Amino acid sequence: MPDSVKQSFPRLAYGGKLASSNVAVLPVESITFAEHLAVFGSPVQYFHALHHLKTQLGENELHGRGGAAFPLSLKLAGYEAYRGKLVVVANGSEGEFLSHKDELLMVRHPNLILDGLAILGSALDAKVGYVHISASKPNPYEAIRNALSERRGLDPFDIEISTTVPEVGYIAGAESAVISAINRQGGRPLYLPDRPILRGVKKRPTLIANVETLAQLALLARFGAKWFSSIGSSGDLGTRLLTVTLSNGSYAVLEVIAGTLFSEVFSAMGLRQDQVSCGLLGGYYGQIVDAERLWKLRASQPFLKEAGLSLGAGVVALANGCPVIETKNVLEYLALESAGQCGPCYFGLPELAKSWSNLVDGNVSSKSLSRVTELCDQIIGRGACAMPDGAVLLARSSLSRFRAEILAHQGGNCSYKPTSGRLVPYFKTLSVR
Amino acid sequence: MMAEKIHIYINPIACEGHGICAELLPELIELDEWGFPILRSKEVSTSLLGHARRAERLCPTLAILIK
Ligand code: SF4
Ligand code: SF4
Repeated sequence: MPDSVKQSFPRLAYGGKLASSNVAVLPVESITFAEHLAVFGSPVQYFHALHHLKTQLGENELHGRGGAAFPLSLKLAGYEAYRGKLVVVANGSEGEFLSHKDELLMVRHPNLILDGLAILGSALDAKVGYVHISASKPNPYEAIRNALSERRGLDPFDIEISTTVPEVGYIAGAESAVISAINRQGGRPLYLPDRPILRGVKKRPTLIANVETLAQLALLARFGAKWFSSIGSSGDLGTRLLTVTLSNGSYAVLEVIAGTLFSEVFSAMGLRQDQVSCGLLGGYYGQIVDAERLWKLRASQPFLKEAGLSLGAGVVALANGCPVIETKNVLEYLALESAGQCGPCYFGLPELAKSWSNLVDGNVSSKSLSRVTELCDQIIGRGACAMPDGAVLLARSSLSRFRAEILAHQGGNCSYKPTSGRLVPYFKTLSVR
Repeated sequence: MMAEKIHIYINPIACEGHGICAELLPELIELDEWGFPILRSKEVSTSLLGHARRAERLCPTLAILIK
């Protein structure tokens, strides 16, 4: 194995430009299977290696990268009793509009993701696997399809590609929605309160892992826990992929060493704090943070958790307008993305967006403010998926963090310059229900 | 042997907000402003079990599960 890949950093961004000592740019060209083998070696010796995998995963070396940050070791333990009956799914559907890291990773490293899926699945004697991809993203589909045909015969079980149902937007990436899509039940979230998921794809126990998690796993299995945890910060080892988006719609996918200061990430991108007013940290399941605070935070899940925040799927969306208006934009987006299956989500999210819009319009009486709180209290925890909870989290957080900015809207005294960019796409407008 | 705790679950996708459950089981279920049930508690006490089972049976969309 060439030593160059065993270097501690960059890892997934291997071959990419180092933007600073802790930040590297993920290259966009696909690595062919031949190159993949030459660089990383064959994954075969790590197949059917449950014990090896458990040892390398240790207590909690690797946390999921799809948003929930659940330790993979625990997930593995939860499904161990269902060995031989399992379906495994690499989730690359990336419903989050602001996230691009999974898309680019699938293009760059389709084989690393497939290695991870094969390593994880074979450890549990899975009989079939899927790579689940967004129907609206042709490049990852191509890359995975090519990789599957190039490596035909290598994997220990059949791996198929499945795609999201196009009309289902943001929530298409939720685990139960992935199952619904593979089962051809419409691709919207199902009500699956039991964990682990025992009646998933084809009514079988179904383990779903994010594609970045699987690529990281493929490296961890090869190079070992000592190598994996040689960089990173306590409780968050190794590296993680971030998508940083700007309000003009451009974005960068970066690999950073876990725990890197955001100030370093942004300056590596050539951004100054005074060019940004705030950012949506954690994407649509995140919170809006003012630039001054954001610059001092670290790209580390435990660090952010301590601060009451989350990195989500690694999304940081930067804006230069008023955080109160940006909150409204995100709430409106989420209201539109409701799959309309659950009453509290279908009726509640448009009401919540309306109540926030009311604040933006300058109606900031205590009655208007408590209307927001009242709606949050009614909606929280009452959807089949976590989407409405994300909206509530954002509204509650902006309500307490940006109280002064909200009050400034009374009499039109908002001190932020109006901007053309916004945190969410323009193409949809909130319809009245 | 201690009895397992009994829980009530409402499937928010199946529920259509008929509100019958809130009439049958006001001790555990109230309605939100759109007429959908909010659970005051997920645990069902033995004294309420009969009422809870009745709500489970009578919900028109079979959205309630007691187990
Ligand atoms: S909570 Fe909302 S987005 Fe999630 S399944 Fe229900 S209606 Fe759909
Ligand atoms: S009776 Fe059933 S459908 Fe009606 S509100 Fe209650 S749970 Fe929903």
